[in-house]
Amino acid sequence: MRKISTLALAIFVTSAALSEDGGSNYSTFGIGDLRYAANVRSAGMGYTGIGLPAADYVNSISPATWARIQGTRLEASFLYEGFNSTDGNKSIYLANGDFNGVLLAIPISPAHGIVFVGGFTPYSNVRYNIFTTGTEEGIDYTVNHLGSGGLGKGQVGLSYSPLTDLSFGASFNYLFGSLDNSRTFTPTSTSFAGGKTVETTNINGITVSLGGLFTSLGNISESLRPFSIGFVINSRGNLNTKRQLAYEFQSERDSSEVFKGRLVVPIAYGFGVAYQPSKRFLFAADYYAQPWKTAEFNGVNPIEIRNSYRFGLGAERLPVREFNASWLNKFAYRLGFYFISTYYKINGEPINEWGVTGGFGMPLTRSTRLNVGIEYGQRGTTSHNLIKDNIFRISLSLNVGELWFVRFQEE
Amino acid sequence: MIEGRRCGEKESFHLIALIALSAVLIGCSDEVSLTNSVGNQFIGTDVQIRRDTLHAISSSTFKQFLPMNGRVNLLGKTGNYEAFYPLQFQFPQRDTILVLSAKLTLRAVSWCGDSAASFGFTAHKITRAWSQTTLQWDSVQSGFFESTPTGDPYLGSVESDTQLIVVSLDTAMVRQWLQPNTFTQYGLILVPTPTTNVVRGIHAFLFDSTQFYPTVEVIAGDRTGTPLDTTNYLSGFDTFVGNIDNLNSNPELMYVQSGVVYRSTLSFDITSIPVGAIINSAQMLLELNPAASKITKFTGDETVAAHLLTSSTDNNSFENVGLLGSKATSSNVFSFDARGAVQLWVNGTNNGFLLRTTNLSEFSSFDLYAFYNQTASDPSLRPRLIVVYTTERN
Repeated sequence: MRKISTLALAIFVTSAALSEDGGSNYSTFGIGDLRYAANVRSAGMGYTGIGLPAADYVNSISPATWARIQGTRLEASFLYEGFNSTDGNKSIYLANGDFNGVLLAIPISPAHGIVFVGGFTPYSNVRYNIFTTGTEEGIDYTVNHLGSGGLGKGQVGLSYSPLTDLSFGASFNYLFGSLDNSRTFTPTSTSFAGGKTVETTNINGITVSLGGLFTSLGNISESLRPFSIGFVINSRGNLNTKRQLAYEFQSERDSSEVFKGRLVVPIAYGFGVAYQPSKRFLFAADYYAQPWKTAEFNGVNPIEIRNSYRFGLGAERLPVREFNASWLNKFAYRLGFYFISTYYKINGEPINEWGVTGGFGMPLTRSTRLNVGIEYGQRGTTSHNLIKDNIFRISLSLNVGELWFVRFQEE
Repeated sequence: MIEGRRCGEKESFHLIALIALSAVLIGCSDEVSLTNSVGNQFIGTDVQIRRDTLHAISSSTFKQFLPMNGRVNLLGKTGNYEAFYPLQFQFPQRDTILVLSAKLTLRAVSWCGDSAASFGFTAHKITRAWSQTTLQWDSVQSGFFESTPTGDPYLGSVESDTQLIVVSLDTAMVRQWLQPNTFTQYGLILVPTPTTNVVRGIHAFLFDSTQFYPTVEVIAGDRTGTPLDTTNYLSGFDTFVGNIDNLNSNPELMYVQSGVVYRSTLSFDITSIPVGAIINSAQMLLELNPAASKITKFTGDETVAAHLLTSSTDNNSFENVGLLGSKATSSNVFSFDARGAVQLWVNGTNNGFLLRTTNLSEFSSFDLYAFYNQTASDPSLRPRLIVVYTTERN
């Protein structure tokens, strides 16, 4: 059973990875498309999760939620994205599949909610491919602009529960990666030589995340008992940048010196609330904001960058844990909605994104689950010479639980 | 049993669903091309193309003696040009031999100067060892050969473009040549007579057919003088050394002279082109002064080479492969494709060009190309570099 599922998963991941390496042309702005996904469960629930306690999932956004994890847990995920982009006249479908992070949670003292978590998740993604044309000095030409790369986040942190219903968490986040922008100039006539310029910007730096989760609102009022609230703050990050240009001419190569600079990633904060009226149903809502207008790109705040925020709503039908329950009842089913006011506006037009999400969690063994998230969304507009993306995402994660490093008391 | 069948059904469902999804995903993404690309207006950085005409900022002509060792060796005098022709045959040992006659036959293949003028030379014994790969004009000026000629002089004229030149050699000298175990010989150098006013090109050893090589015909006899055999010897090596002084007579010109040689350097200022610019094309144009140039009718392709100098102080340090410049039939403008050179200069060090004639001409003729330099009184004649380049426009 496990072997076959693993094989099927491997086939899926490989095939999706073989799909064309394309993305949205909106990733030309800033540091690309920002990634925000606590985990695949969260993605299926409108990307909620700040106020959601979870014993079986590792949440990369809110470190306070780790305190409920009782056994060692490994969560590895994969993301497939497809963008059907149109400018009103032409349209194109570009897709890519990529590894989407891995997190390992190791409970150190489950009684006190002390859980260590470490791993890697994506922070941003750049994937654009644009052709422009022109004629100058009697020379017809095309320029192919290609963007690739992005930032990743290496994360290590701890959670702690001073009280049963109160937990805090903190993590150090190492942001790293490179943004590559290449421009290939090709004259139409072979009488003229073309060339290529590749601009590589390596970025690295540290931010800190702090989070809190309170699950005992019943102490305030009995009617509030099903509620839990949480918050998260991500510190401002002063990231180092090193930018270098590499030139490829017809038969010559060259590179520029390295230009050092600074990228300031603004502070971010979010709030979340979860409501669980019964053992089978769970609802969540999140709000997360980041004032990108305060960001600095080598001392400059680009005109197209603006403050961003997002909110999400989600619901989950929780699985039945009894061994003799039917197979379909052991699934978790999820539904959600999200809205994002992105961090850029172009030609004076603010670019927003919305989406509906869904998903399920399927048990493979008693402690291992395969989570699937499916999402459809839209971003942008065709007015003001912009493009509209119809977004299709499939996310997949394998969530494996083992009783490693757990001490059992000897009788 | 029932539970086991249910598990099997689940496995089949997983497998079929994921494989089906895989198949859909593989085939879905489009190839981006010019016709379906969207988001052009997102590109803040575009390109601009410029076409600039750059003018040379410096040039110089210098003389440099080099070993020739070409396919055609020059011999004669015309105007201020002078060429000597050394050659050395390699003979086997023949001990008991009486040389009755010895004739040197040379195959002339070209001429320059006055074809109606007289052509003559004397043969002199060379007094020391030499090599065709190292001998230069300045090597032969002191003690290289005996001042007294040997054998008979050759006195003649240009009877045709291709002509056999035959001159008798001193038989005693040739007898010694045929005893290499006893006598060491270094060959002959042919020196033009004072009345010569034409330069002839002589077919060299080790090139093309042996029937064109310089040849020594020896008729040998027995002790009584009866001719016994006639042998032709055509194994040897040769070169030529040539000279002309004070060539840089016109300060508005730069000279490229074969056979001696004179070479020129030429530099352009390309600092107006930003680093990182894509050089789409670059054409260097040099205007020839036909009156000051001398190119023989035997030069098939009138071609000049421009080599990238790799040192700012050493004119002998240059790229082996040069740009070849040629002109249209009815034009005096030599055009060079300098795209690669300008691209290297933009992103690296600019030491300019070294101008020379091509190998075929430089070591086998007295061809002279005189180009206008950057000081020419008529600006339209000055060297220019027409560059088309692309930069980014933010």
